[in-house]
Amino acid sequence: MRPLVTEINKSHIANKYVFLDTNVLNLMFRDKDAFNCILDVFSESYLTIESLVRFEFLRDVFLPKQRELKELFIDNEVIFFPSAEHQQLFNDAKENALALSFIYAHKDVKSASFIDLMIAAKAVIHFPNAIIVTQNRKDFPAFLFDTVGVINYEEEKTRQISNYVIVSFNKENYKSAINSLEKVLG
Amino acid sequence: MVKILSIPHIGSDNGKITPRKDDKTSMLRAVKEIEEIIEENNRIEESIKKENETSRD
Repeated sequence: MRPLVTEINKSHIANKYVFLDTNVLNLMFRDKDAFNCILDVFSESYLTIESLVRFEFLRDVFLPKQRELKELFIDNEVIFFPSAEHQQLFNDAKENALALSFIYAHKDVKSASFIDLMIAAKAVIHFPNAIIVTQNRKDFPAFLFDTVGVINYEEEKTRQISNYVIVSFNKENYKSAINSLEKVLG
Repeated sequence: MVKILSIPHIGSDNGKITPRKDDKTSMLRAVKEIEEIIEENNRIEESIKKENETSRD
């Protein structure tokens, strides 16, 4: 399997909290090259795990041995950095997530899950020190999130190429989105 | 009535995060551990796949 990194402006990704979507963790868990590539790309940043992403990554595993391996993987605190957790932060993130969902609905984006919204909400709280890596660009839409890099990944068997996108919250675009939402609502 | 029209909690700290300073030895050890975990999981996945193929036959 061959991860290929396209041009990434290192200044956009250095010294940031890198919120990983579950699909990125799944890739890292199944492929050593992808794991090492992502580690290398973000060597100057903190690979951050939102607690709900940890839940999504670990859920639905049947075999105890696999469950143990997944826990050992995601709980390695040299590699991964657990996102800060406390009640106030969770409440703030929930409010952000709800507000984001209103803006998404206005733009007819309905694919983002609760966990996607919470990742986005946390990235907004940590703005401008946070970025998100995901395979599902549509869940972090371009009217609020800028692309700062792409990691391409070629499946060994199928030779299909998947894109993993690095995005960051755009505060100016967010203000425009709010203005246009307010105009619609009068 | 919808009250929230804006995202209420946006970070305003323009300060930089403390740069990562990894202990090279523990980082290398962690990478090796993770690579072993990935290999072991792939072996399990492979054996599940074979088992499923055998039971289909």
